[in-house]
Amino acid sequence: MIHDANVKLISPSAVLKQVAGAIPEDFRQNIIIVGSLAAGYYFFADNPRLQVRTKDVDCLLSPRIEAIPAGQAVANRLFAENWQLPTEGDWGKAGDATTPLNKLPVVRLYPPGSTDWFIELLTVPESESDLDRNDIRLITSQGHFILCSFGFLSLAEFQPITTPFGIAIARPETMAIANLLHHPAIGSQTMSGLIAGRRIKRSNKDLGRVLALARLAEAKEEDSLQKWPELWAAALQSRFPASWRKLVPRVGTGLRQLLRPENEADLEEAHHTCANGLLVSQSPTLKLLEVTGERLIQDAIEPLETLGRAS
Amino acid sequence: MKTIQFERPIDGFPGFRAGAVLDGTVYEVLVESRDARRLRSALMEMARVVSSKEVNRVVLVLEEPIVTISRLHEEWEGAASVIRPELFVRLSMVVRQSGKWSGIPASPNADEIPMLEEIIRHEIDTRPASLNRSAEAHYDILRILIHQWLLGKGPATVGLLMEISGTSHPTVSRSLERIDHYLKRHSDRSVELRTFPLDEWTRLLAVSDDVRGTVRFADRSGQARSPESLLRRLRQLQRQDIAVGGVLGAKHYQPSFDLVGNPRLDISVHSGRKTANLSFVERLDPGLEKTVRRDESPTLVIHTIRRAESLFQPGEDGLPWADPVECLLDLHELRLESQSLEFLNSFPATKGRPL
Repeated sequence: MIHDANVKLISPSAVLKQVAGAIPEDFRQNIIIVGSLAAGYYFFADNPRLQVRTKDVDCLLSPRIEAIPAGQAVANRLFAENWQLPTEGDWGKAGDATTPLNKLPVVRLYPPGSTDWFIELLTVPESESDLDRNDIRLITSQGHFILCSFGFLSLAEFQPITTPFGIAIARPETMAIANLLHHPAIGSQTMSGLIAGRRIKRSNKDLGRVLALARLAEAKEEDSLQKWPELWAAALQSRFPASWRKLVPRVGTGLRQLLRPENEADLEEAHHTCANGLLVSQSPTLKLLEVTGERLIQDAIEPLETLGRAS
Repeated sequence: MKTIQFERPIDGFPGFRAGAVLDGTVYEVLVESRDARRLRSALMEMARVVSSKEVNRVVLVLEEPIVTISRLHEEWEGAASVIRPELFVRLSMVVRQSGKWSGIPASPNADEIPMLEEIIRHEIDTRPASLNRSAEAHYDILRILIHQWLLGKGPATVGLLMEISGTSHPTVSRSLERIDHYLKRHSDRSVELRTFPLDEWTRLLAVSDDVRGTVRFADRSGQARSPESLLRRLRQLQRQDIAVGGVLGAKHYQPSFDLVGNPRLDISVHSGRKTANLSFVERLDPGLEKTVRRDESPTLVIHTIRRAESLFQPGEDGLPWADPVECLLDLHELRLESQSLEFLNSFPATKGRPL
């Protein structure tokens, strides 16, 4: 994710419609939007005044077995319709057959005539033991790219919500648990770009995203967090049938660490990302974010832990 | 699994009983400590105890201290200057304030917290209530009599009043003497109210907070949970010692009660003579914190019922209802004066003679 002073407020519905319209109809069913745009659409679609500040529109290609043909078809259509590779950084030049995998760029394309946002193609891991980042080669009309996958992205594939535009969005609940599992502790790695002028730890940004999703869920429907553990358990059992019980205890460790008083600086970073991202239209106080975390632990994480311990 | 030993004697310290002991660590608990001198003397006592061969560490556990954290640090540094360093390094202090843990020199680990909570719970459950019992007893008996009268239950014997209030014969007699002009005394020595005891009621309203141990909780997050949400969560706790009062309770007794909306949740906790353990509040909403400011709108208000019998009425969903007298007090406290009168006048006892 890139964040800088030029990141614009975007309307989730308008962007989703534009993305769906550019994707070949036959492959729309293979697309699940994840991240801020998906959350923004889920929570704000019925209120056009509410927007999100994001630059990237992450498109998950699913299922994995169809990721390569779907990725090729989508990328080739977008190239044909004059979507543009970035002109700066490491993302603007496709590789060829001789380019090693670790030197290939991801497919990142701006819509014609705009640099307000771009789409990025991702896919889901091949198996439940495939927990690290994994890249596969994607050969397109414009050269070679990679499709990358991350361990817990497969959770976002669980029971996605189909939009009227024909593509789906990931559920807030599954995006939240994917981020929680991805950060069982506050790590030292920082984001490559600045977020509203600040260098932020990746774990704080992603755990902040979890808090933003929980806050929006509570604002939309009081007590809705109490419904999360059941869906989380179903998603874990579906995507990690052999290992889900082992995963449950690590769901809450990163968030609990973030909420400890001695880690207030990390929570403040999470707050900064929320206030300049998903919650830009309804900026929370630091206290609200902290309480949201505690409510999430009580309503969702502790009951999930109980489910995980049950026979 | 290791077991916490409560109130355990320590060798070499005759008469001293450690609050709790686990694995060579002694835990001493201070609840709602507002006195710096008490804190200082506790630190000195800890230094004495840690010199025992059977003690590795001593931890002072402060539950909802009234003194500030910075004052605690000052006291800690003061103690460091007078306690031998080899003993002082084996001392620590952990603090739970508004449900949040901190500590000096370090916060407790997540693993330790359930054990610390158990130690606090034990301390709260076993300490006697500190309020003036004789002052409360009169208002307990008054409320029991009003309860009998409102619900048309007829005369009550002194024995019944003793049983419900949990007080002695002389206490009940003194109280009845005080409100004699409101009483109808029967030949079998039972008593009942002739009418609503307005001036005694007015006196009760003036001291209601103290008599009922009222504690208010306000939202600190800026996005308060609704009273309905708190109520749903309270039901999930399946507690029979907690009852719903306030506007909801009044509506239960009088479904036609004229009040739209529910500004807050009033509940009564039956604690008997012990201090009420309010740790369940965090389960209702971690965003709630105690407030003593009267200009702040609380989301949750808790009243303590200290008499022997709660007079709670069973609820259909497993959560009892506070008795109508508590509901009436809650309405007064909410400044719903006309609704209080309407509620009072809706009971059979007041039929034909509205107050």
